[in-house]
Amino acid sequence: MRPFALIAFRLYRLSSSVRHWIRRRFTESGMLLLIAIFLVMAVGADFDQALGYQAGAILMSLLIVAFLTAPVFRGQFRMERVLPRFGCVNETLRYRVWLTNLSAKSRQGLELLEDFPDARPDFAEFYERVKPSPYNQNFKLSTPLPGTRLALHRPMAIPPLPPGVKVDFQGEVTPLKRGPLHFVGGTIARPDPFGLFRAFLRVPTFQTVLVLPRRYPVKRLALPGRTKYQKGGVALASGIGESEEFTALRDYRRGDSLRRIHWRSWARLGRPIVKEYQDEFFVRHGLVLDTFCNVALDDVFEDAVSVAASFASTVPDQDSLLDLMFVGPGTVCLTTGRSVGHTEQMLEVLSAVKPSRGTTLDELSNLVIGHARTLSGCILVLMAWDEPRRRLVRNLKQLRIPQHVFLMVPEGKADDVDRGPAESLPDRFTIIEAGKVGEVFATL
Amino acid sequence: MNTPPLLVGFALLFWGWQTDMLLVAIPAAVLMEASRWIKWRLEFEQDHYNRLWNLTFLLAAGMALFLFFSQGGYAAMNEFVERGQNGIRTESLKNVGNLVLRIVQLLPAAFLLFMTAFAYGPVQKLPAITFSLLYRRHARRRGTLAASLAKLQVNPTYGFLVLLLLAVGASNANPRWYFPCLAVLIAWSLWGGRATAYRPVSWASMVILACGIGFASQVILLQLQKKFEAWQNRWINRLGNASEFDTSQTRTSMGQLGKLKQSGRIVWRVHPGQPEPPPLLQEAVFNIYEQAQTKAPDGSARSPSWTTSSPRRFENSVDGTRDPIWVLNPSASPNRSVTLMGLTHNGEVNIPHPESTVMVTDLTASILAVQTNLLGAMRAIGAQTLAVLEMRYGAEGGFAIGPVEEDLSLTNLAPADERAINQIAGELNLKSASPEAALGRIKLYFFNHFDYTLDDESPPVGATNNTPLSHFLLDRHKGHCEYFATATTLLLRAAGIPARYAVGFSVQEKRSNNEYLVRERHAHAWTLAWIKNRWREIDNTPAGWFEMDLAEASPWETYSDWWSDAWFEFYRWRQGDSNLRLYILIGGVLTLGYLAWRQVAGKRWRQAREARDRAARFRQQGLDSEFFKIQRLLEKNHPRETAETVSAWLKRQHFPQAELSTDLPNLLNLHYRLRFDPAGLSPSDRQQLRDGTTRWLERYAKGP
Repeated sequence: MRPFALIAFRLYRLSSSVRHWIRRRFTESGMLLLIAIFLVMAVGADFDQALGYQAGAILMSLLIVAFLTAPVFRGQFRMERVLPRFGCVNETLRYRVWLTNLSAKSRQGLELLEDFPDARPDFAEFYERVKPSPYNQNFKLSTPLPGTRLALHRPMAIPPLPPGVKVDFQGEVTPLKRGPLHFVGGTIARPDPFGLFRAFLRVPTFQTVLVLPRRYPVKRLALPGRTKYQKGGVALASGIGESEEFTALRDYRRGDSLRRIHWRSWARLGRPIVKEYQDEFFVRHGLVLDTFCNVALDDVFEDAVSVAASFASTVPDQDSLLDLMFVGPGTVCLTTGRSVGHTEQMLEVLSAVKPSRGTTLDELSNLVIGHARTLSGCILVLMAWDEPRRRLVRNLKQLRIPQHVFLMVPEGKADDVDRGPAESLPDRFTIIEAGKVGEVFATL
Repeated sequence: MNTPPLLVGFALLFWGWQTDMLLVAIPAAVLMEASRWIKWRLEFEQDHYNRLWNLTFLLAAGMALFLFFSQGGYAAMNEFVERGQNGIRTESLKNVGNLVLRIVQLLPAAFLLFMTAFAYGPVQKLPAITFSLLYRRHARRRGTLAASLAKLQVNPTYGFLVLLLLAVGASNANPRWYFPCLAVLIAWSLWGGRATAYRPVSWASMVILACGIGFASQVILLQLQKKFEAWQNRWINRLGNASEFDTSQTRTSMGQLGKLKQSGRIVWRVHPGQPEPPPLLQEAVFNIYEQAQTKAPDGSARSPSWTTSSPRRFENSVDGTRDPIWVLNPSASPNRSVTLMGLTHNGEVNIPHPESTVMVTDLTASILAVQTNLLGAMRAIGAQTLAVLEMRYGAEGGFAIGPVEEDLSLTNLAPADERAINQIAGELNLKSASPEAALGRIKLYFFNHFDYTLDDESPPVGATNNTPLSHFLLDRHKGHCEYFATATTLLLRAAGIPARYAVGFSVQEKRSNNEYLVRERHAHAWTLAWIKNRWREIDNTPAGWFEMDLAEASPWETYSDWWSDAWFEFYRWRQGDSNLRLYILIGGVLTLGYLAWRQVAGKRWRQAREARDRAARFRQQGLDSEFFKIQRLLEKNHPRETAETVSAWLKRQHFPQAELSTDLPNLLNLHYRLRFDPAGLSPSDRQQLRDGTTRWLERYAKGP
């Protein structure tokens, strides 16, 4: 299998390179010309019956002349971008570009193309995705392979550039994947006289935007959970002031503040007694993101991250704390809300989360159960509804922690979910099909 | 339309002119171009365009199908599939091709309605999703493709121009005007999209340059195509059996077979009608031995050669055009048969056959005529690539004429050869022996004193026995079949027995029960001797020659055999002589059957069906639960909120009697288990739910 996969990998690299090259090098007219050449040559294959080959020849020569003009393009430019800090998946990102013409020649009709790093999988990942497995039985390459484009963008028209002049214009890209989006450089393109083929000049300018996962509006959820007093810790108290609650009296111990001495009790008992206060406690929810999925569910996983991100950006608005817990690449537990941490931090973390392969769910279960003591409710975003996950929910139930499970399933698979025995069912169970997160959230 | 003015009109007129559609093209061109001056616009929305495109697509498909069926496309396809003759097939394929070209020529007519609507529509560009149902479906989803599709706007006029270009290119009317008109059209359409950075003069000069290169390259293309056709013909010929022995020259030189011995190419496949195949298949017969007196142009001595006394006297034995059976010797009755299959080059081909062949049947009706000459050579005229011939032969002799004067001639021999022959004939005392005894003595002589070798060693210069034959007979005592056959022929003649020299193939390599392979390496020479009023095959080459040749076989022979088999099967399939079509049909049915089975019984479908069943079961299970009575009762006063669980809702209820609240969770638990636990409730639990509910309702009805 591996040698075949290697051949397939080489073909995949080749075809994606060719596609990338064509997409960037040819203008829309150029692409139309390519299609026309192909069709006309097919129709004119019989030279005796059809004259199509003549059309093919003339179109081909146009292309050749267009190619020949490409190496003539020379120049010197400097480029700066003013990028926002964050972007969002599938949302157009607008920024300003400053371009200086350093050469002595006036330029017009130029275009700018952004360069992004190569996002194609390496052979190890490719093999992992295409090898026959329970999740990949149909030998489909397209389904498990991730998209090769990090962002969509069209060539941006550059205003006329006299020598030594700096112009600014608006750039636009639409990020397609969450995580850091590196702008490794700009490519100044000059179409040939016919407007078919672009000559390139690269201007390296490295900048990065963090692309956050896609988020959906979530209504204020009546989250499962009682207003149970949970110890919040010193750090939290500092944020909200000394609003403490009297709980008991006890004997004085060295170091107790004199302000806390209960004088009346000292008088009554003859020994120093101090008042004891309990720290403020907060409602504290867990947001558990299940990262354990096979390659076939990568699309669904993106939606799972979106669900988690939607909660992460909504729940802290409410008067509570949120612990985000997941495994991947390491074990992560991050707290936000009530002035501890910021939503941005959580979204940044979520934008970098990757599916865990090779580890088991036990790691996450241990993490959640370990934190269960401090939680008053728990939102679980799960990728499957199998025995280990049911066990996790059962355990949480036994600890009397209310849960709301969001089960992520591929498109059209909601009816296939086997809910299993009643004792494993969480208090609230919502099945979300891939691509329908917004719809489901609207009905919550 | 946002294209350069008059471009579409000009393209439409060009199309109409080239395809005889001017009556349609002129009004269409006027209508389209008029849209630039007429301000009136249709109130079209995206949905209208979508529907109009669907209609246009159906119109185009319908038009194509109608033309295909009404103009005899189906009949031509049928002919191509059904008929066996290559000529008819080629013709029908050509007909289909022409019809397709005609359809392409007319295709723009189907798009005129859409284009007119677009020209008079409110927009200059349309979203790409208009043009494909698939795209529209994709765009409704999310992801990269949808995101890029949703933003992509196209101007369909340019697509229409490409279609017109295609339609015009599918015709060959007015070839002289085609190129200039095309150049103008293309230059005009490029004018709109030209880069503003260039001056019009440099732009125009580059267009002229491109047109010049285009003109030159189309001339080169035409020539290349002619060259390619010629090469293709040659290549196809090479696949077949080019004649191994040049019967047009009616001559074979000594050493010619030695060259063939180096090749393991399969030339014929032999299927005998009885367990034993004919041991020898003769391809040509010669009866004059010539010792060349002259030298070859390069100065080397010419090899001695055999030639025939009946040159170019091939004649049609029987007209085989009606019934592909040729009876070559009506007086003889055959009792054996053999079928030969092989790839031939188109035209003439020598047919190897057993010496006593009396009847030939062309099993695939692929040759036009069988011709024979008087000495026993046979060839096919007008043969197709694959020839499958059945030959019937028997013990009574074939179609070659009896002995002629040349069959006894020893006159043309070189002095050295003559000396050698006479010396050995004298040693063996052949002249006084009976024919059988002479045959036996010669055979024994070669058996005892001679070896087989493929090394063709020339006699040393200046030696007395300086002809290859005398060197072989007197000095070397080693050689290959040509020497043995020549020597035997001449010795038999010296004994007074008419003899001829035959070349062809030896059938020895058994591949399967019923198939023998004949390779070039198996080319062989032997003697035909006239004994008891018929020609008999005398082969005095030492018996081990076959194994010795085999040892020299190329290690790649297995792979070249695969290649040869693949070609052979391909041609059998093409000429309808194999079960391959049947196998493909069976394979197709099995594949479809497997796919159908997978659909019905496969995992995915089974799971889906089971999920459906499960869902149905899940919906129905426990609908008879008595707990619903409690639920309905309580819902009258305290309606449950949307998406509120029953347990959460019950917790909100307040009852005057404490036991009403305490019993409920237990009952609800039982109810849930009845409703949702796949294992259901045990009879006792079910009874408990029933009784508990009844008790609860009674207590509730009683009130505080």
